[in-house]
Amino acid sequence: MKFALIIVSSFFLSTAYASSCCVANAGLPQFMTLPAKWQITTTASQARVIGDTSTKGRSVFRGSNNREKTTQLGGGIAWAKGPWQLNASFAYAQKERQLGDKTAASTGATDPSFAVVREIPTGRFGHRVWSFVRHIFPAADSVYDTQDELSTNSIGAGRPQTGLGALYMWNARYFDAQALAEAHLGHANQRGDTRLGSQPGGSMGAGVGWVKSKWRLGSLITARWEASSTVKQEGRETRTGRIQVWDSTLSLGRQIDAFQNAALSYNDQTLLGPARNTTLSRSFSLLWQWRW
Amino acid sequence: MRWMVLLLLASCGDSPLFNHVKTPDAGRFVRSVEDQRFPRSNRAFDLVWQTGCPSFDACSFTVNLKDPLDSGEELFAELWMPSMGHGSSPFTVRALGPTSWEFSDVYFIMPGNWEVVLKIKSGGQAIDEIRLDYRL
Repeated sequence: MKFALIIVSSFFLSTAYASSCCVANAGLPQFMTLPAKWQITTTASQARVIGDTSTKGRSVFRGSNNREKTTQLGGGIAWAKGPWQLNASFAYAQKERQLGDKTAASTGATDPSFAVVREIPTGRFGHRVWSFVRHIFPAADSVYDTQDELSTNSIGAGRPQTGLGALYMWNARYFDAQALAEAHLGHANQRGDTRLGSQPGGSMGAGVGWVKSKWRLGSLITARWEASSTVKQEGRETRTGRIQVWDSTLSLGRQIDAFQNAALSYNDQTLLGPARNTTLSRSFSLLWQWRW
Repeated sequence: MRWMVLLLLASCGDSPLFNHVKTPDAGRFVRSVEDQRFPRSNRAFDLVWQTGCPSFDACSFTVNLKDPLDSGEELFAELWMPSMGHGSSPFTVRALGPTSWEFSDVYFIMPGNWEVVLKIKSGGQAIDEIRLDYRL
């Protein structure tokens, strides 16, 4: 069961990164589910944009003349005391674009995030609940800033964002299940000449896992929404469409020893719908976690 | 498990994987407009896209004003995606004459509804503006 708890935590890491302009990641950057004081997490991920979906849900898959790939190296550190946890996550990303004959790439640090987590006692063995508050600082360039060639510098969200949520986890002998619900508010923000209105959003997720020896195979489905917002530029205000996207994740994890674990995850946003006003990505991510 | 079933039911099977097209629909892309007018100043202009546009290659278009701009005025253009509230990378602008400009390095960075925003600026401020809709 300990192993299951370790690997389940890997589900909620923000590793995939491909549509900074359009939606916030629902995952908690880092989550400690075992008794430990410190935990370090490193991730490497690569996401490719497969297509785009209009406000009416019409999906267009991109051809070979329109490619977008984001490679990301991330890290996080978590500290726990009693039922409380503090964690911080950072990442460095390279975004590559190809449109027709033109190619461009940019690298930079992504938006860092910080979270406070508290475990809520349930009084029932195998059933655990955590609540969390998370804040994302919009440090990276976003699609609302001056754009480099082919907008490759747009890797941030553009708005500070504060979220509140809860994670429920159930563990049996060979199986586990998780449910996650989260609501957040992207705060109004000024980016150069552009005034961004506030943007509420939320996500719900559910997953199951199967544990055998030191291996765990799990799946997770997460639905995410962002409400419409306003973007004001040079006195003219545009109201954006609402965003909806579904993440389907398959994860294979292995416990290396009592203090380390690794996981390989595949995330696909094209499998489930309806999707609205968003890019659709597929990504692979590799995770290594060490705690003491 | 109940959560997972509920989520799957909520998706209604409207999967992008099984309900998508492979190429953008450029059916509503009008390659040239003639005798359009800015709303405030009533200045008339033509806008013509180069052959082959729209595409995900670099596109370009020319704008021909019927009358020259006043002293201190300049013509400005940008792409804007209203549904997502963002634009694209800046264009390269070349004056072809006193009433004619070429805007190149125009990239539609994703399919969808776009606007070409033409502005007449004076002293850095937009004094007139028109938006032309394009879908691809």
